[in-house]
Amino acid sequence: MNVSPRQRPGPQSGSGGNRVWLDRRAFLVASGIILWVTVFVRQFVHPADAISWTYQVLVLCLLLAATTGRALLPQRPRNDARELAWPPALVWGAIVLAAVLPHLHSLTIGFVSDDYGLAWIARDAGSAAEAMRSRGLISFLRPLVMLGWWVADRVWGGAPVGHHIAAILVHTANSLLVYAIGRKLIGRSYGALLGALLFAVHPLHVEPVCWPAAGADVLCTGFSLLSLLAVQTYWTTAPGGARPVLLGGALAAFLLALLSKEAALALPGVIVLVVVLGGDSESRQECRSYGPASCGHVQRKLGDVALIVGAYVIVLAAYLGWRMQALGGLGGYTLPRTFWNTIFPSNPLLLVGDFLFPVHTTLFAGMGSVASWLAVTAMAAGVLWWLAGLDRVPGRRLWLWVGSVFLLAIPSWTFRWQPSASLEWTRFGYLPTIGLAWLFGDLCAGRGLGWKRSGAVATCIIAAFAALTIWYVMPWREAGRLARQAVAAGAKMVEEHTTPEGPPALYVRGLPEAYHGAPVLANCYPQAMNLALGKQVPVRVVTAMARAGGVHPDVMALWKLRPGEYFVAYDAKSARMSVVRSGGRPGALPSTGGQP
Amino acid sequence: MRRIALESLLLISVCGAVAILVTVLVMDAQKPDLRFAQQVAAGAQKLFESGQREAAISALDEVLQRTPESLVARRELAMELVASGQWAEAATQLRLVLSASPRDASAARKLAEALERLGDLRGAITYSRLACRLDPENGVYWIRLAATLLRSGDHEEALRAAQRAVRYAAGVPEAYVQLGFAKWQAGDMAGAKSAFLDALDLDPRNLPALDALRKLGAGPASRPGRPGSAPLESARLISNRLDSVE
Repeated sequence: MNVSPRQRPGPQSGSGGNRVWLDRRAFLVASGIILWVTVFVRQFVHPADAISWTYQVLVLCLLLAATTGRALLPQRPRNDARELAWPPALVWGAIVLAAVLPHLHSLTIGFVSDDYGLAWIARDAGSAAEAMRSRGLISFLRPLVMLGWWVADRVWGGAPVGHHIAAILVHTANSLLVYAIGRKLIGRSYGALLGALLFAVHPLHVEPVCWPAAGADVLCTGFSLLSLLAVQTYWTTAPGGARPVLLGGALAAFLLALLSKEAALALPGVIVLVVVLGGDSESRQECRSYGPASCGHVQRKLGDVALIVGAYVIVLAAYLGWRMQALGGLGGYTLPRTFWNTIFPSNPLLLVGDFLFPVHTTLFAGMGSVASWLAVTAMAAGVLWWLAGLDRVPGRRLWLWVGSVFLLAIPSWTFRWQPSASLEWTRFGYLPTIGLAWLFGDLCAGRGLGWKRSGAVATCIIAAFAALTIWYVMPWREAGRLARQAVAAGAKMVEEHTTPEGPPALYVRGLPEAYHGAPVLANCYPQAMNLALGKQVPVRVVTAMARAGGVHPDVMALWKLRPGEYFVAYDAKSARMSVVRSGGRPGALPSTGGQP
Repeated sequence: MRRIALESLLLISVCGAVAILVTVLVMDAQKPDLRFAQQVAAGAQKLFESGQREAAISALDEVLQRTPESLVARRELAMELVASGQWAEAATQLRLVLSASPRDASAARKLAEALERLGDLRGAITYSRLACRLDPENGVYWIRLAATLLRSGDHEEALRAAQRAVRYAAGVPEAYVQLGFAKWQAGDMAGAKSAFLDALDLDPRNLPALDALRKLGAGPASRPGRPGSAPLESARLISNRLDSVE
């Protein structure tokens, strides 16, 4: 048997007495029970209520069971002695295809919701500097993203397809970076390849890749990965001329990540983890086997660690100071915090749960109960395969992967992010999931190279997730179509009621907000109209949801319209807009029902 | 020792998961009752709208005895009691609704109305403020708060509330009328006149604004502030109109 240097005897190893009740089968049964409960609660009971607290607690139970089982059971040897024999071009090509193909049909989605707002800010800005100074739609400091929107507007007229192509390209680059870093951290290109493939096709990434407004997460992840790669190279490079350049590059990439999105705030923590946990005690033997190139971390010095951490903290402090000054505070989302997400790591747990089990409940419900059960069971079996292989991952690296996920989820932890049954808000999970992708790769590498060892199951998981991604893009295409229809109907209404005095003022109700988790016109309908008509038109949305510039239906019921003002209702089914009442011709007040 | 701790942790994880499953299933088992209560609430609403008010209220009373945790039925009962003018009972039910659903701005607003009708101005202001805090972009809540504050004589806060009302309900004449009254009480006659004119600009037949402008033309002797004075009566009329719309 080919025994890896990482093989460690577990508490039960050795023959003879001291047999205890827990063996591998018992562990799998216990994990299976928890997994079944998790899946059942999430999928088949009352998903909307269940995820309010039960789902994350169940994921915690699952993680606890997995880690305790891993600590109690004897460690099996890693089978990663052989290296993948594929030529590099084939490896890189496979990753590019995996990142591009499942998202290819997102090119025709068009704009939805916030896209219109950002596009209008870019169109309205007099210069690139003005666009970069914009606070976005709420109170954000993302100059790089705004620069991207401005450049898109000036270079290709802001056409949505350009944004979609850019998002796919950056996602592809990110997948390649996941591979490059994973290869160094895991030490095997086979594991790194599978991790990168999973990252490339993962259905949780549909929102950030398909929605231009969420491109900030994709861009921020790209720069964060570049920063990680530079630090890692710095760490494994012998003292000499290239090291200052590498450190400078790492810091510059970190700053660019922060300027793309504040999600990179916790990156210094991950850098510390990579530096401290990037190698383990057994890797000294590995160094002897594979040469000095794979064991630079063994030569690390305390001074170097302090230098790297100190430099990152200075950049972070400078960024935070600038942000506080520019926004008059930390800015960002002002969503209410809840008891659970304040005291409990609910976001990272939800993220782990959704990464392992990316079920779009509303789409699955349309499959019929038998097909849905089969699909969910297959996915649960895949999760059990993950858990059963955790003992192949060295302890220090396991902490590195899980620690990365939890640290990178901190920025979104501070507000009420709750991935729902329709996988909304998953853009916040784009950056943290790099840790889970590497964990998957490490696990596969530990199981061994080849179809019989890990290749078949890993390939099935990746193929299934790619299929899910293709499927999950479909609601976005429909959302784009609905948004275009509503904008066209509004533009037609404006054109029909334009007088020599100017365009009419519209108060619009009945706009579709979302379609199966994909936003349609939850925000930014007025900006969409501005873009469609090429000028600023007075449009306000009548909605009970808190929207900047929106009018509450209770208020609209009392609103006195002046001549040239129209209260109109949009019907998404017929894609038509009709006048409810207009200024100068008061009609019956629309019924609000008195209910919120 | 370490082994015992780890094994216990594994057992706790399994037991925790099973306990959660049992909890969720028990919650699910209660759903048919809640669903039934929801259906009764929907039926009661139709009965109430068709004029059979007592039958609707009694149906809701009955279903709440069976399923007291049904928030939908309790909320419907509270709203029907408000619409029937049974203020004391409505206030009791609305307090229960708010204790179960503390972010229900509409319930807070209705409770404020019920308390104001019962003469508890302080309570009305408290819940009206709560409604504004929960749904700050609903201009009608600000108009209502301004009206209640005016009645209580707190013209400074009434002015602030009226300004928010104008911000969120720029097309509603009542917002300008409240602003006018608040300015009038604060002694800003020119500002009051301008606000009433704004209201008339939106609605040339707005009686409170016309009345107030007529009185303003009569000189500062008619300045509001005393209970029962004409502008405050107008404010009360406006409140009634708001209540009928909500």
